[in-house]
Amino acid sequence: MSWLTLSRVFSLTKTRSVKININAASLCIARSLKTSFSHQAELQNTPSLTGEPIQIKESKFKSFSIYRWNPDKPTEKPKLQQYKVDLNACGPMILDALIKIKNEQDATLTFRRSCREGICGSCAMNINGVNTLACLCRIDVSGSDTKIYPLPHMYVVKDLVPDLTHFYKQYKSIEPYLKKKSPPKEGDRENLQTIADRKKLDGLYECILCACCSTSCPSYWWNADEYLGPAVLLQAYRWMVDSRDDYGHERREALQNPFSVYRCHTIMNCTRTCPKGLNPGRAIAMIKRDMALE
Amino acid sequence: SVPRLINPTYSFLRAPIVRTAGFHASRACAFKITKPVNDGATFVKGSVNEAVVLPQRDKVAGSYHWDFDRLLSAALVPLTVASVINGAHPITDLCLGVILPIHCHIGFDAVITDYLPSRRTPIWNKVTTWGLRGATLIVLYGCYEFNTNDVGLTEVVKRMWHA
Repeated sequence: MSWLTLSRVFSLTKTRSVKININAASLCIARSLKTSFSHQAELQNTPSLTGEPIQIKESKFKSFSIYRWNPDKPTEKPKLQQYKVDLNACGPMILDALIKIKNEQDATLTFRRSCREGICGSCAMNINGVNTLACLCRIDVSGSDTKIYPLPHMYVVKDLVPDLTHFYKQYKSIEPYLKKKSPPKEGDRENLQTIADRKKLDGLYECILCACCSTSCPSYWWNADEYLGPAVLLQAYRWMVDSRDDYGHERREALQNPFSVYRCHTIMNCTRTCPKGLNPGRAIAMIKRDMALE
Repeated sequence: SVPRLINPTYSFLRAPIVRTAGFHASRACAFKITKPVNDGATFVKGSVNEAVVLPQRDKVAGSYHWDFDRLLSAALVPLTVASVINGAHPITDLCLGVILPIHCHIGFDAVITDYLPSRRTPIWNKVTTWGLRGATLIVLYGCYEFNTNDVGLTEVVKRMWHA
């Protein structure tokens, strides 16, 4: 009640343009400060609607060791910083834990994220040695320490953010768009495709370019400047095998050199680590087969 | 004046890009991008909007090389089986004495291309490539000598195999 009277006094004394709704402001502040401790306290104080006793979960702490490096202090060596998170007050995925750490413990922790549902590819990172999406990787509740690193063998912009410039430039070099030699027939406004031909694109178009596969490939680690990597080659194959595209032969011709495709030695780390369940290794094998048979 | 960061497509003719000092200049990774491109570690050539330039088109070094390598590997399977079943025979020994050294040469050459590429380690690449070629020639000659004036490849394996 006292807050309401205060707000009324404010509007009377100040001009119309400054109307601070103190009620809403205080709610916002209280919500942002809700840590696991205050949440448990709130549970204790709110009355139960059904009359049953509210079960207050004990804190279940798990430690995360996260790679930290600050480009504003570039001479400081990168280090692992440990954070403890109460799993009973956190969502099930690694990204939930990272956001919780950033909100409550360390606001300087830097990582990319967007959709939180495994479709944008922003939160790709190395979790316990495996390249995957943080929003799709469940926290291992067994209690042992989880190590979170940026994608391997990539220049680090800050903390968990890799520099993907070269990766995107390689993607651009394969010309990932439909190219036709002649316009569609008179009367056909669309580039038609049979159901069987459309099926060939399944397992290829779903790639979200998260770079998990390319950064898991040892050949890409050693020869990233010349070898295109499984992600880009998967997309190259996606356009080669698209029946609407007329430039399949030219696309294969562009890869005729010892490096772009042929640094692949079927290590198959790419297929193993793809968070979307795609098979870049098989796509590269198909490219090699098509190039051999031409 | 406009900083010369975004070079148009003829960037390969220009000197390495030098940024006018902005707030990025203190970051180590930004330095790496603006360094001249010959140290092997920096490979972002050109601006962020330009596609990577794919290497020169060379079908011999590309798919023909790969086809030849798989052909030799495939040929070695029936050859080895035949020499195991048949024992020593001049023709299988001759084929083995030619195909095995060439197959090994291709394998070692792939190792050199992977770990000592010419753009990063030009001297070591030259040294090991020519060393490998010399070694392969010596082995080829050695196999010929062994097959002609000695027992032959299949026979020597048979004699040493005590498994």
